[in-house]
Amino acid sequence: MTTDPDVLLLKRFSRGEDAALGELALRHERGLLGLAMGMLGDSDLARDAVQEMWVRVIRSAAHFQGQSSVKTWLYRIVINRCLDMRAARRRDMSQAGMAEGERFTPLDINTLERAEADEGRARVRSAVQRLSDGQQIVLMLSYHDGMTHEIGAEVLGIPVGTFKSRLHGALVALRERLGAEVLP
Amino acid sequence: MSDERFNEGGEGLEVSGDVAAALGAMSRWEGEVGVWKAAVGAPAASPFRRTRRLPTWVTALAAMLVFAGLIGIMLPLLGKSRASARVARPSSAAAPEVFKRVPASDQSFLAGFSSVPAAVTPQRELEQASSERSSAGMPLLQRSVIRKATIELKTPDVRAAFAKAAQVLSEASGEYVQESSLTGEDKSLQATMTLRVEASRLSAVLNQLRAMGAVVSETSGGEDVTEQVVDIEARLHNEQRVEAELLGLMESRKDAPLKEILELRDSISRVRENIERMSGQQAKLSRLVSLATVLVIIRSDLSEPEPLPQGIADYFGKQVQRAWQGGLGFLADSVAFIISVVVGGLVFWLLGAVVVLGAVLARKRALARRGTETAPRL
Repeated sequence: MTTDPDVLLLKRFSRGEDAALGELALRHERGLLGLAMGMLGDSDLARDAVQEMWVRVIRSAAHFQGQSSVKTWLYRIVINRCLDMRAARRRDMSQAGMAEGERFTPLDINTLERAEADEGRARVRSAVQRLSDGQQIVLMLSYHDGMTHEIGAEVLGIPVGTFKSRLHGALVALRERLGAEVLP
Repeated sequence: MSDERFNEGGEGLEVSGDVAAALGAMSRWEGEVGVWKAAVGAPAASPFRRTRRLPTWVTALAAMLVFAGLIGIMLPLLGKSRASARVARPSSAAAPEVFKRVPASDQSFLAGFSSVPAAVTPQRELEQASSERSSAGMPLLQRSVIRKATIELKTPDVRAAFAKAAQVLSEASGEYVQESSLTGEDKSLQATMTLRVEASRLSAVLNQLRAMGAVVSETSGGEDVTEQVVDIEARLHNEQRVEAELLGLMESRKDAPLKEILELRDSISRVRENIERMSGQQAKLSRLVSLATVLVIIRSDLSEPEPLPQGIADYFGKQVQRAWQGGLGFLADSVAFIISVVVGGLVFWLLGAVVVLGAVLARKRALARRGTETAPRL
């Protein structure tokens, strides 16, 4: 008999209590939206990704295996969905013949305003966006609110040591990108 | 390249506060939440909401009932198709003897005429007969069975039963008493009758006979003469064709030498003789098939008749006894049916079990996949 509140909420939802899904969303949705936003750089796309994740949860709630925690499950779904969307966006851009430098979708107005207000953050964001998918995700998970290396490693399905070494690699790459900007 | 924002710490490379804050801000959501509400109303999710799975035992029971029903339907059909296949496709080994056609002496004579068709093989003859029947809309080689039955009765009044037995015949249908005798006296009085009744009415006639006394013994059987019927039909067909050919030759070779014409006549007369003999055999077989033979033996039974039930209690007791026996009979029939379905359809049960097992495993795997998510591939 599990006492994990997320699992209990999922069970209640699969028995027909919609409010249980609301409670589950209250616990995780903000973090999931933030991660999707960080990966996609667009609030609408982030909403789409998280909405699709909830659809998947609704369809599969009754069959949740409990092989991982609910939180890990939700993050995996969102990350996979974001990776799919990024891949689709790259294909579209490649077909449209856009140059390498134009690959990233412009940030929405609010985000841009905030970024302009904080030049340092904008530089960091720009440098992160030039990293590989794997490096970006490791960085996002590492500096995401409420996330630990252990949970991050579980989400990616790798040992904690591997997670840490990948984080190190990502930070080295980030330092190079930022260094290149600051000291050209 | 050095950067004061990145330091080598105990845990490896560490970032300064502003970079860490920037990284944290990238994955921070400050907008509104509540996306889940839209997902609940999304069409893609609606078919999966509120889907309650039936208990496994209910599903299994329903599947078993459906399967048992299918087997119950399929087994008799398979039996029928096997029987019809045996009749419609007689083995070539069973038939060939009947396809001898023109005598050897006539064969050499006919060899001189180029218009005589090549010898027809027995197999071809059968196939041709089948296709002719098929094209004529006739059923494919109906089974021909000579039916025989023997029934032995005991009755206090042998003479009355003897007279009544003759009345079960329908003369309009060509039924008749082939033989009858009444011998002995009193307790040794015995009647014997051989009835020829229409094959389709055999069971009705037996039912009427059973009502005339206590049945001591009863046997029935049938002799399948389908092959003989087919053989004779095929031979007759061939002979008729040969006769037509010979008559055609006779007509076209009126100016042939006398010797050849005489030989031709001899051949025609032999073929005609064969045709007559086979027609007779065919008619005889047809009579035997159309009329079943029933041997009726009626013996005297002068023991005390069973007393009629007296009073409502006696009647009630008899009815209860009859109902009980009927119930037991029904139970026995049901058990026999279940055993025949279980044993007779063993192959189907095994196949069904394999299919169901495979489906269950596939479903479990699919559900397991749906309830988990693979780790992101980076």
